[in-house]
Amino acid sequence: MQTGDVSVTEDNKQKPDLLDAPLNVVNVGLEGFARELESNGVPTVHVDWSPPARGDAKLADLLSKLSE
Amino acid sequence: MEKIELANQEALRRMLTADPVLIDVLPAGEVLTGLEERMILHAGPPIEWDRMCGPMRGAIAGIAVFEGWARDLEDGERLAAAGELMFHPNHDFGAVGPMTGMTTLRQPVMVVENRTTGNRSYCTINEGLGKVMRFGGNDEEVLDRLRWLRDVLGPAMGAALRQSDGIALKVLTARGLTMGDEMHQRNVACSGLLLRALAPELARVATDTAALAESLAFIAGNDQFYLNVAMAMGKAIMDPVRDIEGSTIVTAMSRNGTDFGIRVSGTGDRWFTAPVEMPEGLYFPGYGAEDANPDMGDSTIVETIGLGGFAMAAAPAVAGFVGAGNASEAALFTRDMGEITVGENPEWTIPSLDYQGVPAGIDVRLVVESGIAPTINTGIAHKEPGRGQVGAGVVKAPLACFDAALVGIAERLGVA
Repeated sequence: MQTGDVSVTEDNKQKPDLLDAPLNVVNVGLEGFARELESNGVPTVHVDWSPPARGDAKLADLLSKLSE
Repeated sequence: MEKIELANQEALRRMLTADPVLIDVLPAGEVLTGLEERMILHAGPPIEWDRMCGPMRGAIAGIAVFEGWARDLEDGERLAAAGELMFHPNHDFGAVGPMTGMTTLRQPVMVVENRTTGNRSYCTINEGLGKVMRFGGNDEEVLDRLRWLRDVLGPAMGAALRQSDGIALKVLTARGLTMGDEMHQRNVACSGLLLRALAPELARVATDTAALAESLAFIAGNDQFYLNVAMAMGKAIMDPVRDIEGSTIVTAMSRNGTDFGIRVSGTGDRWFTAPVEMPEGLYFPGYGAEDANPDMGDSTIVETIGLGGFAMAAAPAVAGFVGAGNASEAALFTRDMGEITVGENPEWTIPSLDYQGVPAGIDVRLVVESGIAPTINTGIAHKEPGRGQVGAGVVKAPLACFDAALVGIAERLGVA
């Protein structure tokens, strides 16, 4: 237990603190998140992405078979 | 799947090597094999009277009077409801028709020949804007115009074209694209170019100068005159693309005011249908969305060949006219359509996109995968029979058609 605590502490020392450093965001999917960040002055690159076939597993499977 | 890729390459090759030429105008009964008395060809996939929308019913009652099958509009409706008229899709007869798409024996049809493959396609002559049969209009004014097209303009255009070499449409369309047309809701340039080519030929065969003047004025006064030519051209281009085993390219998109249907090369003449959507657009003064009929017409053959909504970037004026946003946003529509097509047409280019070709060859797989539906520029009919056009707008093809087509192709290829 003690070893584990030490390990966590060491990991934290190696990582930059996400909330203190300036954010540069790549947003994938829902554009609303990107807009919200941009409106708060956060540099954001939005990637227009959605699951294939609007998330329909059966159609996505057929697409995979017809594209492979 | 290599088989699909090769099949789609062949489909695109056939599209791009087509050579459509306007060669004649003749009564539909003389050129449409199988067209009979009391048979009415309509826009869209198959539909029976009880499921038809208001303007389609209005047009059917009107055309029954025009053809002499009914005494009046009421009698026309009675005949239709009693099963005494036969209804078939234009597409099954090598034809296409805008909005209601009425094609019957005695109407003149323009003949477009694809000189690469020898097939011919047909479309009636555009009646003009406002209260016209394609938008469900059916009063005496509408019927009188159809009689004039039958008796005066149709025969004159036929005679003029027969003694010419025909009018090559690929080049004419290319010029129209560079002049701001997209060939669905804006045909100002191409109508003018067509008139320029037709006028001397019409004059050469004219025996009655008053009738000649009337014909020239009719064409010159109708900014959408070229639409029906572009539609017959589209059908002539796409028919040879049918029946390529394994191809996932869309060969027809069409609507009857109730259902939207698509056909795909690898599944032949099978229709994949879904309920039509409502266009979003701008309305003429005094009308609004509450008056509008759902999407209708075979004119989506224009989008199927990469024009109309697919070529929106060529016609920024249309974006404003159909309520699709600012002129500067027109390019976005064309770019989106590039996401669902397998190639571009290097002969039909768009100046504002640095002469990029229009997106060509809609791939069902790309539509389903991306969820991007084909964008269609369209006129909007009043939902009641006999009222005519009330606006213009943009509508999306229903994705459910493409989902169904994907399953159909997978079944055909044995991978479903």
